[in-house]
Amino acid sequence: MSAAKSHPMMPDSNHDESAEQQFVIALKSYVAANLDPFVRERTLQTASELRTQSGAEPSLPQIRRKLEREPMYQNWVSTMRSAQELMWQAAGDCVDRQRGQLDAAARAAPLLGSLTTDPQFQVPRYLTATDTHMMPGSYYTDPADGGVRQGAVFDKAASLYSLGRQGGQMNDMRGQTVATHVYERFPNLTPHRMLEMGCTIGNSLVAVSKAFPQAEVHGIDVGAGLLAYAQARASGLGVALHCKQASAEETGYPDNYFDLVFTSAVLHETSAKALPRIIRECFRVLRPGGVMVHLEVPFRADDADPYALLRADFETRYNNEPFWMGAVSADLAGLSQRCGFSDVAAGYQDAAFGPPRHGISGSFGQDNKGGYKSWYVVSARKSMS
Amino acid sequence: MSGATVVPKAPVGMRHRVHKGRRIVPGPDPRVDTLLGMIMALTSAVAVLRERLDAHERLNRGGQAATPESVDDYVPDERAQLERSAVRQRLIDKVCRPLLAAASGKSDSEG
Repeated sequence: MSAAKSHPMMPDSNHDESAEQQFVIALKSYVAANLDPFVRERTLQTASELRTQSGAEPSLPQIRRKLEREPMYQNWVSTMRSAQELMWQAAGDCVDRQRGQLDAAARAAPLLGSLTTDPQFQVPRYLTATDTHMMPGSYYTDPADGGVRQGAVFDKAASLYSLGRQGGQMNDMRGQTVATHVYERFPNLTPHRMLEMGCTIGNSLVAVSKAFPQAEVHGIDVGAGLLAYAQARASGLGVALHCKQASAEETGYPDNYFDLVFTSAVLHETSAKALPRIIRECFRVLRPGGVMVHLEVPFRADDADPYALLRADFETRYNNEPFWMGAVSADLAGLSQRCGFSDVAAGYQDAAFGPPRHGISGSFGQDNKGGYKSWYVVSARKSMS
Repeated sequence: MSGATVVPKAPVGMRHRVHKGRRIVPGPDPRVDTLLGMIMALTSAVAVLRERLDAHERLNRGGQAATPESVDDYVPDERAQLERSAVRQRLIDKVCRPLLAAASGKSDSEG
């Protein structure tokens, strides 16, 4: 199908592939509109019954154990997971039809920036235990003949995953949100060098780099093919990315190297052990006066109702994001302070769907407007002394 | 997407077809989850076939030959997209109706 492409590396979809992708979107929308309300009602009812019986607030496992006996919950989990599996299959089939062309395009592109891979790189255990988001092969398992497949599949699926609500085909809403946050909280920051940890295909990093066009732009992630795709994708958009295969816990960059370090929906894909290490690594690689920003899912366990907890539980147990609940329960602001950061703030940043503007105010505070409208953001500065 | 030699690629293996860490869905029989997954995949295939047939009809109506290539390249206009969306929605409604019945606690005999 010759529909307009958002960037030169985006895999083409022919007629049938496009129809298959539209089906996935429609099925996900159907579940959200028709099955979710029943699950919500039954979850709240179950929590109320348990509360009445015991006189105490029921835990998530108590609620889940009761719901697991009900066909309604079982069907909901199966249907949600089927839609997600069909999404990866649709994206994978589309990419595999043109894998040779995509690899050739990545090699032929006038590449900007650089790519540093490490054949000896050890992917952290928290990413190898399961395939995150149920993506077969996950971020890091490239086919035996190499290439950019995993990046292309991730890019194709990403806009389907959130039903286009994270910036459409460019999938850059989270990057625009990070940039807007920096413009509002740190208006005098002019980063000369920035790093995104867990940059995947560079969709957020390209958006942030455009907000700071003078900066040298670095991104790390765990997959060689993913990063090769990220570099080619960014090059096609005129952005020079320096991509490196590395862990967020140990990036390998010198001390005091960056002016801005950020993550975008990454911390919930790590682990309880890795989280403090990542914050300490942010502190180490930032220069004094540099800024750290972490954007996370707009949800905190301590003010969530039982249904919101059950949804998070689905992501943890069935969408293979095992640290989801850990990340939304963690005291990220306190951890940042303990790691030496100052000027720490945690709250909700309004989602931004376009480039940031100078002088913006009021887009960051304690008002959570909900999924795809707000993001939970923790930011801090490495003090000058 | 051109400018370098295209090297044919071998089909990917199971590692890129089935995800790692698939938890069993609770219930009396794990085959229910397997069957539900197969039904959704089959429904997806029906939706694709229905749209391919739609492409044939629209190309014919426009006086164009419906060849494999012309169907592969066919891009529905806005009106066609809306009509296809409605057909797709009806298909999903029909296949998923038993799920709604189970969720609402109503059997077919209760109406």
